[in-house]
Amino acid sequence: MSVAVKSAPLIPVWWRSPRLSGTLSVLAGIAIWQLFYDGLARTHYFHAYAIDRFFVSPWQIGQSFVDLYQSGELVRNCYFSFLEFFYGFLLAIVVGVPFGFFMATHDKINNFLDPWVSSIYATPRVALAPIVVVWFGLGILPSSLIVFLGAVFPILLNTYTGIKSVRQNLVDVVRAFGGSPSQVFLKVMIPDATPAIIAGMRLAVGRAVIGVVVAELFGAEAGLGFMVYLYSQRFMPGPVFVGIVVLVIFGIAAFVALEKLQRWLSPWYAYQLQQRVQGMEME
Amino acid sequence: MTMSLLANVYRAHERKFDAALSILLGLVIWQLVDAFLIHNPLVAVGPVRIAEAFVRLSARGEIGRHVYATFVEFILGFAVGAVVGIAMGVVMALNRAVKNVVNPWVTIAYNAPVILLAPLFITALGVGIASKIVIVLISAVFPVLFNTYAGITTVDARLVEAVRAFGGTPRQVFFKVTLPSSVPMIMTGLRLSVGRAIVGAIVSEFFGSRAGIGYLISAASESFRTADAFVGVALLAIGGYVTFEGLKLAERKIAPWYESKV
Repeated sequence: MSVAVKSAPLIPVWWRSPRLSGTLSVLAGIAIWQLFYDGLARTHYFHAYAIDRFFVSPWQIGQSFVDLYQSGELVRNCYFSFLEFFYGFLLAIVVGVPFGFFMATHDKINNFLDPWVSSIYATPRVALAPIVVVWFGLGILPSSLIVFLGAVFPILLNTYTGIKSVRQNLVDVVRAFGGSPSQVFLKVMIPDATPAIIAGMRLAVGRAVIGVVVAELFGAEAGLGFMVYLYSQRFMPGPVFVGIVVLVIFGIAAFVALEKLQRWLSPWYAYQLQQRVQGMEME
Repeated sequence: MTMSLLANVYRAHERKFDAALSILLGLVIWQLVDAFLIHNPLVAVGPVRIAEAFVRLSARGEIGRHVYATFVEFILGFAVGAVVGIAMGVVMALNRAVKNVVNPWVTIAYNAPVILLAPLFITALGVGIASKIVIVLISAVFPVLFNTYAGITTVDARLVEAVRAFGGTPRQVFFKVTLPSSVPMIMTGLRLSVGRAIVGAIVSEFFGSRAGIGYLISAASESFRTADAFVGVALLAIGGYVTFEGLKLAERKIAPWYESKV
């Protein structure tokens, strides 16, 4: 009487869903972190190495968050950092898109600008932060410029690639039916290049966030980078982690918002995009 | 006659001539702005001033000292980061359970501005080289990890099937097919990490250090020696370019069949 036993899978199906196991992994990680910290606090190493000067538990991060929020410091610093991000990013779009467009359509312009674009792109822009502060003093302007320098090149280069890879048969069709150059530009080139341009912006978000923070180390009276620097000098790691968490959330929100924008502006591209984003690479 | 000959030569190498001309023109304009337009050496430092500063600093042995410090931080952090990134990428690609558990943390860490942790690492490990190596490592590890993962999961299934059909063991499949065909992606990941690793080294030197190119830049600009700061920036640009192109060359040598898009 042999009964075919269908053996249960080693890992149950509900556990195999990446979203659930991901959430569980994050929660478990935070719990382990908290327990590790509490355990560490009981040992003599804790005072011998002054561990509370550079390491915190998730609970303390939460407390720092509440403290900073209630004193109004968090909102004020977020506001300044956001302004810097916004101005710099806007300028990067206003400059990067036309430059990329003209470099793609005029070979002569491309020949002359390309060496400068590639050499400035290869220079780590955060290294310019102290110099920009010497030039422009304290305040919002130098930080916005660093954001601009970080964000402009991905946008420019992606616009260039986007315009270069506009499908020629679409252009030909519009021309064949009597489309004027301006119609070709507005109805074919811009829509066909939009996904690439927005992909450039998504690349630029991460660089811009780093730019905001690093620029604020040198010349700022407010901002998240300033806050992080201030509290790390006071050996208070809690607010440092609060700054990092806020920046991560902001970065992800901007990333998702741009993805939504792309879906809305060029819905035909969503399918292709989904294929590509399914991998893990975020950058 | 000679004019038309010259015109032909120009047309044959138009791109290169234009590039050289553009660089030359840019440098001349930059120098003219320094010489005639803005008389403040704090703001306008022309190429000549930067070259002078370079000669002055290298005569005192400053350049060698700072480049050496940053190079050691970079190379140690980058090497460890590459090994860890490749190992983690391979494990995550081969084992789904590990991937599901690790993925959210890796994604968070990749998107977090980890250089902000630099002051904490400096508090923990001192202003010396150890704290910078850790920051470089954390900055470099994730692009390598993601690219290794992508390379291994996108291996051509037909190749794997062919080796299996001829009786290849899983071990042979991994070492003869999966790993070699993901080498180009891994190299791309390494190349992407170079920039991040350099930024990590520089910013952690900004936070507190005794030597290094980041130290040179921040110390120079804090005492308003703008030309010296530009020497540091130029050194960084050259270093980044050399490493990037070197890895590109290595990629072409190791995987000549693969044409990178980055």
